[in-house]
Amino acid sequence: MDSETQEIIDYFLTESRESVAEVEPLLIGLEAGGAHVDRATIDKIFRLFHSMKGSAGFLEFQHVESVTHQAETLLDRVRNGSLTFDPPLVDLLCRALDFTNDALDAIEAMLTDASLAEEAAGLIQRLKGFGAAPTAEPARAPVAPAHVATKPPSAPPLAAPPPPAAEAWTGPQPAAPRGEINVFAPVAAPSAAETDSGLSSLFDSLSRGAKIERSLPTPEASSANVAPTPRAPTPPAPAPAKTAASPHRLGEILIEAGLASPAQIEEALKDKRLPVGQKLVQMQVVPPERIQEALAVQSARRGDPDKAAEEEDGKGRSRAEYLRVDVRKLDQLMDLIGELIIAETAVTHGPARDTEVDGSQKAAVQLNRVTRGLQDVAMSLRMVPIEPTFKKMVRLVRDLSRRQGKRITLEISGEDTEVDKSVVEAISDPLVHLIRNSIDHGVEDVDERIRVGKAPEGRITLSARQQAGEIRIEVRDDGRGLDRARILKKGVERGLVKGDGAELSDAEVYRLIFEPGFSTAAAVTDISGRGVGMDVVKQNIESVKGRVEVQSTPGAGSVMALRIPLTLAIIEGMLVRVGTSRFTLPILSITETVGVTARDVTRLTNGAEVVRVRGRLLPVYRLHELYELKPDSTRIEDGLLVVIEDGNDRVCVLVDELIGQRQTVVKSLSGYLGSVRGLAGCTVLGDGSISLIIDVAKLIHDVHAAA
Amino acid sequence: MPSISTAQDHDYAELQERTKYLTFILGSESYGLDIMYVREIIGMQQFTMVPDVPAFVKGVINLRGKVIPVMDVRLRFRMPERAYDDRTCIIVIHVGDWLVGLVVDTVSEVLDIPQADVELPPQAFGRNNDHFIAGMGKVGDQVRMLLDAEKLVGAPPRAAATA
Repeated sequence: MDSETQEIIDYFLTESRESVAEVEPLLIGLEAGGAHVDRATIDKIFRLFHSMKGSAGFLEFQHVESVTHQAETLLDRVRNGSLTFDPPLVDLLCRALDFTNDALDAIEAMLTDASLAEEAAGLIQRLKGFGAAPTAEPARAPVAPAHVATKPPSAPPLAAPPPPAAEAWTGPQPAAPRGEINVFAPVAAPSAAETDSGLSSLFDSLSRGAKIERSLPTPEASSANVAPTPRAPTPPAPAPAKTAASPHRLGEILIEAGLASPAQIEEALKDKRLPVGQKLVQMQVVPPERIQEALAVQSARRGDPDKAAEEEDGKGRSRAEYLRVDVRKLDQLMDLIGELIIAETAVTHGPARDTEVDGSQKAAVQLNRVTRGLQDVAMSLRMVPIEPTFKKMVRLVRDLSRRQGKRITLEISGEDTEVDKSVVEAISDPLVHLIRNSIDHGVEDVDERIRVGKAPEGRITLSARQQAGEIRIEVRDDGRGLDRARILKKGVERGLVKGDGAELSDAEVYRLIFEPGFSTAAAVTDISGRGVGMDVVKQNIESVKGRVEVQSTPGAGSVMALRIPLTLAIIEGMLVRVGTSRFTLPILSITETVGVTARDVTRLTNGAEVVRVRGRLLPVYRLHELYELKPDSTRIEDGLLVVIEDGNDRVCVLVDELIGQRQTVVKSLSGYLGSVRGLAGCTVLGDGSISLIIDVAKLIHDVHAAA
Repeated sequence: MPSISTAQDHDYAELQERTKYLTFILGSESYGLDIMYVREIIGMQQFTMVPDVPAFVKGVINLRGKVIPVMDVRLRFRMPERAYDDRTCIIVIHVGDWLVGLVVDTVSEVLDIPQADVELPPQAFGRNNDHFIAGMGKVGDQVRMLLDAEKLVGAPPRAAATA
């Protein structure tokens, strides 16, 4: 396997996975639309299947190719009205997508999808047999050759008479001798989009000296009075009717978009000295940026009809404007910028700061501004919209709710929120678990909902938003809510709770469901489910320094909120000193700094200290005791108390001195050392020394756990 | 062509048989470490303590922006601690996914020890650090203890500490 082929396969995998992810919500959206089937969406789904088929054919992944081909055939029958778009069809097409995903995994691992032959054959049977195939199937021209996988491999397809099946054209012949001519049986003129991708990949493969294949016309194809003709590299068929129908003239586009009235366009057209666009701007009918957009639409429509169709779908972003970049390169970039910030801190906070050399102050400020700008841009490179992750849940909700006989709608909001790529990876599984949990245990079935006076249709809301340096992702359902008593009972049984737990807050009780092995199925409802991996949720979220919060109202539903820091790489920190050690506290978790006298401090019987700050009693953590350090002084009045908070928890940490605010590049504390009590990682200071970064939530948790 | 492949095999085997070792001193004894693991040798540095790690992990240092843990090999071998001086060195080794610094009394030289001159460590070594020894390398009339870097660094110390 040469690196070029590997690259092509990688590209194929990424692209196909994206296609699958895109098709799923479209299918389910169509299904929800009921009887009215949106033609444009069907076309889009068709195109996505088609491009997968084309690429799979080129790369000779025959099972992917033949399954997507069959799916495409079904969609075509929907298009021409011989098949109705109904839930069983959606089920089957979803199965085809699942298969494709499996096959893609197999290809990634073994570079072939051969291991899936059996599944492919079964699925193809189902796809073919779906909805009692009409006798003379108007088979589409097999532009990209596919393989009839159901045929026993022993039958040499070239020599044997074509089987009587409706679709008997044969695909790539493994034994086909080199140098044979490609024979195709074009039946109907394929759409431009189809010809385009299918042929171009075919020509690609030919020009690369790929194996030349041939396929035989089927009896049907022959009788359809098109003789098999050697396919010459003809240009794609002219733009299909659909695009021809969409307006090409700027005025028409503007009218279509509702930006100008026909009368206004008439008016603008009268002035022959100026182009219509400029005239409209002059007339103050349309703002200039709208004209630019319309011009973009126009040029897209004049060009590639496929792209134009995408524009119509509201996806104005053309693929060409994106660049695929190896994530490792971005990581490298982030590392370098981290170094730069450390160097910048060394300069701006170093000894040179106090020496007023010709405008050094000014230069330092400028340097600071540039590095921060650079940092922002670099961070944004890693940011991706959360939309694809959310869209994956559409299918999950549909399948699970149907299986359980529940009626649930999924509402998605804030899907354009951007998060770091690593965050997307970390939340994907937790979201599945949370939603599954909501469906299994939260939302009641139709009968029960009606009985308790709720709408028969349950509702799960998936939302994302940015909030104070964090991303907050919520899974909200309007089900029965968590059952405090039962969770508590289970917690007591399992020894997770001391005593009867009556004094525990709701939040503390709900936290139990994230304990490993805590069987929510038995604890919360009687519905038996698989072990729902809520501990996985907690683990994954903690791996990106996030937290899970649970709110629940009995009878009215629950909210699971994932709170994840916006960036894992660089935070605003407060540098503090304890003896010779320096720690960094995240600025966002500091509420205030107070100096207290011994009188303000109360020592509890267990030795713990509490101090009254603004009418609230807060525990005091002496960092020197926690980390066995030698402080300047152990007297509380000599030091400073920094009040830090995590959600509702608030504690004070005793430090010797505040050094100052720093832009802090978070580095992991060597995987060799594993996870260390109360720490998020470390950072390199301007003078080259290291400061440990405190993770407030973890500190509070770890101290509690140790107590 | 069998003759060629045999010749290559022979060369390869010969290459295999010779290993370069970085030797260093702890107290009165000399140890060797397969040079393949060694990234660099640096002078003693200020380290930052890390809570909750075994005593032989002295803390972390900043190696040009990379934060790496440092272990004192004397303490790892349960030898008495000794004040660091200007000959004290940190050997930075790369084992598995980790960069780890090893504090040693001093680094001496790089030696070529043919495989033929390496013996397995005696079974009854009678010292508590014998399981770090991969072999005994004979150099002239002297013997160098060749360390097994993987075992020396071992599993993350937390796991080791709780074990």
